[in-house]
Order: sequence, then structure tokens, then C-alpha cells
Amino acid sequence: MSKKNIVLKSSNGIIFEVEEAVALQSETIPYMIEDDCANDTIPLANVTGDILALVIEYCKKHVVVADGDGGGSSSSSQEDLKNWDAQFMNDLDQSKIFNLLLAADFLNIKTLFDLTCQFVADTMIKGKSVEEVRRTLNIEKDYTSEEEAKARQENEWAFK
Amino acid sequence: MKIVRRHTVDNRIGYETLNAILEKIGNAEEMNEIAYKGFYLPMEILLDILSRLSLKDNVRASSVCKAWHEAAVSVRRNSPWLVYFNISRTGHGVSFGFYDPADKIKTKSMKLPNQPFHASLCYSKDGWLLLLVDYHGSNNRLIFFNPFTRVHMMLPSLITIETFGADFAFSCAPTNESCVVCCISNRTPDSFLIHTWCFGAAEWVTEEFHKPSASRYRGRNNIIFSDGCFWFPDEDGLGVFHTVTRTWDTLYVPLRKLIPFLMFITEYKGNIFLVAVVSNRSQKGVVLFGLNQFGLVWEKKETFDGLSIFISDESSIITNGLTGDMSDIVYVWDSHLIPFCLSKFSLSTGSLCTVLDGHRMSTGTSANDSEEMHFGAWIEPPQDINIYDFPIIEP
Repeated sequence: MSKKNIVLKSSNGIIFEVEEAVALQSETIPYMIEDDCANDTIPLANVTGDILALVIEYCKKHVVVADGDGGGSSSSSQEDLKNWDAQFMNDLDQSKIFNLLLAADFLNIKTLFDLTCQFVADTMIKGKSVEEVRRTLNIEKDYTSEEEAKARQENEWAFK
Repeated sequence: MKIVRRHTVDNRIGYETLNAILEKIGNAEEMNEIAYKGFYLPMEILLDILSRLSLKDNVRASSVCKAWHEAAVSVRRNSPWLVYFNISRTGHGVSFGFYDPADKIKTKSMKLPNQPFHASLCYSKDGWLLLLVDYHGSNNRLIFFNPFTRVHMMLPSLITIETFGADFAFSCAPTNESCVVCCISNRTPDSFLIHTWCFGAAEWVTEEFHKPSASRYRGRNNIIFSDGCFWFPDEDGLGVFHTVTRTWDTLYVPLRKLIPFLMFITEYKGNIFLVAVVSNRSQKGVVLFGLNQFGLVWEKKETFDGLSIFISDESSIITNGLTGDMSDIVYVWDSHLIPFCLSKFSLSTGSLCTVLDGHRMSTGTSANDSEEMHFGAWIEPPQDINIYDFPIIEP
């Protein structure tokens, strides 16, 4: 049986042709097909080519594993997948991580969204000081020093 | 062309709204350049990320900027309450009230509907209680009771069992179609009965099971529900009852060199934990273990990432995101430990930090407290309910 392919077009005009099962891990894409968004090509105006390539790499990896075991994947392949996910995230720079997170949210791919949110929480916030978080995420402090000192005093135990 | 958007522009925070950024995006290079200028995640995503943090990290994150403060505070959770019961020995019936350990405030007691003569508490979960009540002149009846809405529903009779020494649990709120109630009774060293009732069923199903080896543990057990199974601790390990296949397994997970004074199991996000209350030269302490299901060993945990455990024979709740001195804490309500008092243990030191004896669970209204019996369990109040919604006992 021949597999149906879906054509995705990134915001900067790069075309990706993927198997339907790969694309349908996104819960947004089926609506775009239904809505007659496109006759043959689905334009994704919020996702650039390099990020879309990462999304597709992730979806391909995850569709293969679910397929190969006939639905119920064994614990070893679950373990492999977990390691693959960790490696996949570790190879990305911060800008790619945030764009991937926005893309996973827009395309509504639950597992990829969870993976990136957890990665951001674990690597950029967990165990870091307030200053480190601000520096890492490039967030400007909008508290006065007095306000900040007061907030810290209220929950002093958390800053030790 | 139609773009599917799940967020509104108003929800966005940071230097520029996402829409403004998206308008500028022409190619990948430009996108990267903009991304480096600042952190611009939509509020919905920020909330998701912050809800994955421990309380300690949550409190620190709330100091990052004003938008983060609002987001971090909104994902913090409320403390569970203790629901306490008083039974009058002189025939004045059953009353109940609440105690909030965060504000250290207790409500006045209220009468149970239909005025039973006697009641005992079987289990508490998802804001509901399972009670065994005794109305005048009739058999003991099992009822589900929601102490916040005062709704109650009667279960089919389970009269054949010895209710003394029976342990109960239920999987989720009785308003949920997947609700299963489980009762373990008639224990002998090598066999026991399991009774189950499923949502909507007209009667209970009773099955007898045999243990692979005789158990010496004769203490009471608390039962929890996790991942489609009821679990309860035994001296040598964990008993597991699968509700779908209706089968019984014993996992041999010994507690090496530790003879706890009391032990409880609890569950958080699919992981099983064991809280052991130990007694050392009259000093009480707690040790927390996490179940490694692959190696079948209890792994001692030195910290619990700011989580708080609320435990009793009939209830166990683990909460993330409590403020102040309530994180990395175990609250134990158990009459064997210190009768009618709440014990608070620190998980980081393993030692007892306070006994909340100023809040003995008596009504505070009876002239003779010794005529009353007290028991209680942990319960999660609905989000929109505050302890001040009830009449409070002034300290």
C-alpha cells in the first residue's frame, strides 16, 4: 500500500515532503487540511525552515518507534527514545530551543512540547540563582532593589 | 490562508509580542537574531514551565521580574486540610470540621447529614470521603460523602465482611465513571479477601487470594491507587491488585535493617514512595524511600525537591508548590504516634519539627472532651473554597 505524503512549507519558503503519519503527530495540521488551507501544500507561516526540519526529525524518530513495535513499544526502545530525546535537546542552542518550543505549541505536538518545557525548566531555571536566570534568558529586572530585597526577606529559605 | 492561533495577543509578555516578532520574520537568520534579543514566551507556555519547578525554584523564579512573579505565584498550590470527626459517646451523634495546617486554623464542627449514631472513616481522596455509618436500628452502611458540598451517596451493602480490621480505598471521585472501591478484609497469615465495587454496580464482587508466603506483619496498612492498581505495604514488600485483570501480585521489596514504628505508602506522578516513621531512643523521625520498580528496591531519598507529604492511615496527598516552611515536610496524622495531634517532620533533617498540640482535634465546645472520640484524614479543598468560608474556632 502506498503511503500518502503531505507537503509542508516553512515561513521562508522551504518545502518538506513527509509521510502523513509523521505530519499527523501535530494536532494542528489535520485542521489545516480540513480547513482547506491549502490544496496540496500546507504553509506554516509561524515556523522557519531550520526549526521545521528539527520538528520533522523529532516526529520521524517518534513515528518509527511507535510503528516498529506494533503499537506497544518495549521498555528498551522507550529507553532508547529517552536517550535520543536528551541528545536531540542537548545539541540545540538556546534560540533554537525557544523557537522549537513555540513551534511545538503552534503545531500542538504534545510530547515535543513537554520535552522542551521540561528541558527549559531543568537546564535554565532549576537550581539557578535569580541573576543567573535573568542572564541566561536575557530578562530585564523590573523590580527596584528595595522591592527585591523585601521579596527575598519574605521567603529567605528559598535563596540559601 | 488561515493561521491557527491558540493564544491571544494580550497574554504575551516580554519585550515584543509574538505577533510583532512574527511579522518581522522573513528568514531563519532574522528569526535567530530576534530570539537573542529577549525572552518572549507566551504566558501560557511560561506557566507550563514554572509549574514544573519545585517550590524553592518557584520562589526564586518569582523574583526574576514582575510578569514571572505573577505567573509563579499563580501555579503555587494550596495546602490540603485535615477533616476531623468527633463521635459523641453519649449519643449526640457525629460531627466534623476542618483544620488548615497552612494558616493553623480550625473550623467549628458541623453535623453529618441524616444524623448517624456512629461513623468511621474508611478513606479520603479527591475531595471525597468513604464513611462507614451506623444509623439507629439499621446495619452499617458505606457512604461517599463530600464534606464541602455535603452531597452523599450510598453504596450497596457489604455485610458479610468483618468490618473491624478491613482496609478500604477508592481510585478517584465517585462522580467519575472509572471509580473503583477496594476493600481488603478477613486477613489470615496466608490469605485474605478483596471486595471491589465499580461505578454504577448493584453489588460488590468478592474474591479470595492466597499469599505466596505467610506474612508476619499484622499492623494496619494504608492503601493507595496508582496506575490502575491498588497498592499496600507489607513487611516484605508491596501487595498489588490489578483492577482490570483482577489479579494479585506481591512485589518483594524488603526494608533492609529498618523496623519502622509506622509506615505509609504514597504516590506522586506514577512513582511510589514509602514514608517510614522510626523511633530511636524515644526520638521520632521519618525516612523517605522511592520505589525503584526495575531493581525492586527502596531507594532512600535525602531530599524531596520541595514537595510536601500529608499522610494518615486513610489518606495520602503529595503537594508541590507550598510556600514558607511547608516544603520538604511530612505531616503525619496518626493516633498511634501522638494521639489527636498533628506531627510535622522535616525531610531534610528527618526529625520531628513540631507537634501541633495547640490544635488538638476536639470540638472545643464540649464540656467533657474525654467523652468524644476523634479521627481525621487529609483532604484537598476545591480551589474556590477558603477556610474562612466556614465558622472558625477562635484560638
